[in-house]
Amino acid sequence: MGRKRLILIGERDYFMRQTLGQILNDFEVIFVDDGAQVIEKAKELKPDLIILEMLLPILDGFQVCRYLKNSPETNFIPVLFYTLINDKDRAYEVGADAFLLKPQSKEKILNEIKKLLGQERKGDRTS
Amino acid sequence: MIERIKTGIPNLDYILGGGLPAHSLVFVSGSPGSGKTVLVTQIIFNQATAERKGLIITTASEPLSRLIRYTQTFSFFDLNKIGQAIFYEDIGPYLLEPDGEKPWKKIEELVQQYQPSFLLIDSVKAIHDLSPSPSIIRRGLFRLASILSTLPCTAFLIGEYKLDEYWQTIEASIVDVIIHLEEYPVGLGSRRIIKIKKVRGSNFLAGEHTFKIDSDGLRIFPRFITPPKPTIYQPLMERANIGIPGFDTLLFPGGILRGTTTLIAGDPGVGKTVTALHFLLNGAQKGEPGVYVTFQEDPNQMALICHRFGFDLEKLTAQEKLILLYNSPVEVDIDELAIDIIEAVQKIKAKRLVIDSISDLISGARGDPDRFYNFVYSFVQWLKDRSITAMITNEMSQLFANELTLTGRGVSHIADNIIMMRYTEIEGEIRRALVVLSARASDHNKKIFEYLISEKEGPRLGQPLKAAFTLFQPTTRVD
Repeated sequence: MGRKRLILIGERDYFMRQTLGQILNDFEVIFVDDGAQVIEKAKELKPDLIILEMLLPILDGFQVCRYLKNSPETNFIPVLFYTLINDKDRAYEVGADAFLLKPQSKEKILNEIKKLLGQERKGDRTS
Repeated sequence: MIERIKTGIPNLDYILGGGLPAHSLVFVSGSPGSGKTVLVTQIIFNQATAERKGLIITTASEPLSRLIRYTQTFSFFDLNKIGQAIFYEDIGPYLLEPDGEKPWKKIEELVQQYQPSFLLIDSVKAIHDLSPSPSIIRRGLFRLASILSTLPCTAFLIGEYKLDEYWQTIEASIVDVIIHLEEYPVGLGSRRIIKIKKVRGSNFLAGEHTFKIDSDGLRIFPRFITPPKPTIYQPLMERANIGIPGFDTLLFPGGILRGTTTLIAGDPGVGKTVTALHFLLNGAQKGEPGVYVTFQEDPNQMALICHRFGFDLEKLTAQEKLILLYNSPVEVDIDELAIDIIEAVQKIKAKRLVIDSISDLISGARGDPDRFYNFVYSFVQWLKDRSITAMITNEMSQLFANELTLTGRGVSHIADNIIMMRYTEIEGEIRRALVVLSARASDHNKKIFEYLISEKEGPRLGQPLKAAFTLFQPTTRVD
């Protein structure tokens, strides 16, 4: 049996964390509270996918995504924006791989994740 | 722009300002039996699919078996949706336990389990009543609202509250939409009303709207309102012929202005109906379809009257030149009538309309003079907007009196033209007389004429009456 895929999620909302936790129970999920922690954990753990809310303290989701996509250490990790802010253009501008406006159904979220995880990785996860 | 969900209930989306905001939390309040459960189950049955599930959670207010049995009597109930698109769950047993948190935990569990697109909790008031403390309710509602905000779910909370109670509830403070239903007795019957009290981030049609429940569920009749500004109205100088000999030559040279409303006020039996009917049928025969709204004559009587004057009612109706709308003055509700009239006007693209008589509409406003006045004013504006030429009859009851009240509050001011008809005594016999009291922005004859009506010749204008009567003076307009 293969290892569970790791998803790093930058999300502060307690209830959204609960819901996402339920939806993603087939994955290993790590939640962090702010943008700086997303970058730190992304470098450290090299997750299979990062899910970002735009509204994060210290560094917002857009800043985090731009950083991750510019860094050779993390630029191969797919980033999915799952956010309250309806600014798809800006998300793609900073390098996002997919965008979903909250809230979405379980099926829609899982479909998007499946697509992203199915993509060929540009680098390898080193753990 | 907030996405909207169509409810599928006739006219509900219109009064909500375009539908329910998607993923909103909706509070439906109203006294027991006012139609709350029907309203929400109808929406859920209309909208739920296997991909967009509906979850109906019953509590201690309505046992599950009774709810399902009752819902089956409506045409919107679809057995195939049960267990596929719509799921019923009962949390009644959890309410009987002393731990007040349990029902809320169970609701959260069910919401996470089903992840529904539509949720109904029927009712939250029952949870209130059985809860050991209000703080548990507040906490439970806050948690539920927070969880729902993470899901693409439109949720309905039902509460058995009266009009003066609902706004004091915790539910009212956390929801995005508030809908209130009431039923109150009027005469021997009752009137059901729906009020939209709040739609977050959106305009809606405030005030009371009548609704009915039948085997198809709810049907709403929005309060008739004046358009904010006329869309196409501009004074038309074109004229419409009334078609009664003398009217288009002597009374209103060239006819009456199109898009205007003419009030025919007069004694009972003096010829108001015959006049309005000729105006409408003459138009219909010349290619101007018309709608005749009557509270006086049922369809059989109307057919007989038309036949006497040489009109073929059946043929005109079959050709969609005429629609006859008969309503009992005892049963009519003005907002419901408005929908019927609008549908009839649109169906045959009516150019003419008659309401016979406006005095019967007063009972349709359920004794509320403001509602009556607002309706008449808005309705006349609606006709103007569509350049529909209208005649409205009004009965004056003070037979042979010297001082008369022309109409109820302000109606004579709303009409563009006023024709007054009276009985008069000439040389030992009772005859008919008429005069045009006013014609807005148009020339008209100010003489008093004899008005002749016979089956053979139909109605026609007679000679001016020269004898000095005080029949039409003074005439009081009551505002």
